[in-house]
Amino acid sequence: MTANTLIATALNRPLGEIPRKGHFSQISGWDSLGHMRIMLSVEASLGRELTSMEMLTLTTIESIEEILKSG
Amino acid sequence: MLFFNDKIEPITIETERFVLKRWTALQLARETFSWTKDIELMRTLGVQTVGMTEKKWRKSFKSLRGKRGICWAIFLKGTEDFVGYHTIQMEDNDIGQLTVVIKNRDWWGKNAVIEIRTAVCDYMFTNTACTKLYGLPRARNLPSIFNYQSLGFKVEGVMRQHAKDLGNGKLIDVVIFGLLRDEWKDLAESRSALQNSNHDETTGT
Repeated sequence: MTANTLIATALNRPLGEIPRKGHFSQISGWDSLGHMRIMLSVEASLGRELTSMEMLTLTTIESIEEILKSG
Repeated sequence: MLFFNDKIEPITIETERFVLKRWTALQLARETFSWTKDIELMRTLGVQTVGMTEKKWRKSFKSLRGKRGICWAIFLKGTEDFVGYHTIQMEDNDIGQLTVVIKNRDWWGKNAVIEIRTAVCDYMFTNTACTKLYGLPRARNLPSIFNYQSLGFKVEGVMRQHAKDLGNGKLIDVVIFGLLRDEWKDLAESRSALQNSNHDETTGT
């Protein structure tokens, strides 16, 4: 799963609305509850809990893409 | 400029959607005791309230009594709808620790905390001697983490296994988020510049 697909699904937004890059503040619908859904989706996709430091650094689409690739 | 060894007058803060009314810690404790039955809400605070007496709940507000505590009850503008509360516990060197509780779930996920805390930070850094504000959310409190990051608070550290998860009893990390007065002023200027730029685009000026 790509970061864009994961974010679009978690935020219940059309895939086309999610940019390829950018900080969460630039994405419509990425609010506090949306953030929680995205982090939980990342954990579900990885099959493990994120560490505190990982959670604190997942603030961009690129960072989510990277962790999905590296696991 | 207001210093925290001075008498603090009642302060009301208005935001776009809310009114923050200054209450005493005792008043706030009395009016929120019924919230202790809301286990999910209390878990976000990291407070175990099952079977808690009103006396014990009031005691938990002890550090907010007197001149060191600033407590605001949050109401939906134009109504008596008591949405939540925001507190600041002032420490030495004019540093304040933040806590917020939004009881009314209709406001979860609607940037209520960001709106309220923006106004609180503005007030504290503009009208008082406060030099720094900080918060200590639990690392798994993801909405709270999001709110601090959105407001521009910086991660100052992670205290490992520093608190207990009230759901499963596991020890969990606590994050230290801090914001200095100068950082807030820089952020406020950036926001203002962005708003002006958006306005210019809208108006074609």
